[in-house]
Amino acid sequence: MTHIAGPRARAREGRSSLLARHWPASDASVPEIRHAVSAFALAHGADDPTLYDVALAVTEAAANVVRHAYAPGSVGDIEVVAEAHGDTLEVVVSDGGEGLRAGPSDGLGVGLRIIAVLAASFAIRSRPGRGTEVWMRFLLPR
Amino acid sequence: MQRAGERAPTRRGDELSVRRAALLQVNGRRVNEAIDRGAQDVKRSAFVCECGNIGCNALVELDLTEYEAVREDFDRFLVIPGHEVDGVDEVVERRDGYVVVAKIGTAAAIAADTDPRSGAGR
Repeated sequence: MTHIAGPRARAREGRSSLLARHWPASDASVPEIRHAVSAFALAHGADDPTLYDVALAVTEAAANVVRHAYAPGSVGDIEVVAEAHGDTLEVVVSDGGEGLRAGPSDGLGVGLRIIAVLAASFAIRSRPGRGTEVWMRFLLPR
Repeated sequence: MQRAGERAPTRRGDELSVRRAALLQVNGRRVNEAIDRGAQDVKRSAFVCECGNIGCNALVELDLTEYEAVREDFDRFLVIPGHEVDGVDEVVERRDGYVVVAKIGTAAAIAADTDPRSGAGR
C-alpha cells in the first residue's frame, strides 16, 4: 500500500530516522508493536506525556487491525512505519485487509475516536478490499 | 415522584449531558475528517456515526460529495437514523442510511468552537 505520508522516501534521503516492521495480525503483536514504537519515540526525545499518547494511539490502531481488518479465519500482517524528523514523530499503522465497511463495527469507532484525541493530526486511508492505513503525527518536545 | 436513591434531573445535569453529547459528536467529526483527508482515490467511503451516544460504533457509507455537503455548515453532523439526541440535535435532512442534524444551543456553540475547517479544531 502507498502511504499517505512518505516516511521511507525521507529516510532514504537521510532526512529522518525510521522504524519499519511487519507483525502478524494477532493479539500477541499488539504489545510488541507498542513497545517497539514507544522505544523509537523515546529514543527520539519523546517526554512522558507524548510517550503515553503515542503508546495508547498505536495500541488502538494495532488492535483495530487485529480485531477488524481481516475476515475471520484469514491471516494477515500489520505494517508499522515510524519516522522522526525535526520535532515531529509520524507513525503509520497499515494492513492489507478489507477496509472500513458500513454497519455496526463492534469497537472500531472507539479506537479511532481515542486516536483523534491523542494525535496532533491524523488521517485514515481505506480502500475496499485493499486495506486501511492510519497515519498519526505527534509533536516531540524541543 | 422521586424515589429513594434517584436523583432528580437538574438544569446543571442537563447541561452536562448536552456538553458530553456535543463533545462526543465533535470527536466523531474529527475521525471523519481524518477519513476524508485520506480518501484520495475513492469516490465513496465509510464514515463513523457522529452521534453523541456513548459506545456507538456504527459506520455508514457515503459518497465523498455527500460528506462534503454535510461539512459545508459547521453545525451539521451525520448520524444513523434514531441516533439523534434530544436537546442537542434537530434533524434537517433525511438521506439513505443517515440523517443530517443541526446542533442547537450549547451544542451549536461547541461545534463552532471546534470546527476544524475554520481552524478552530485540532
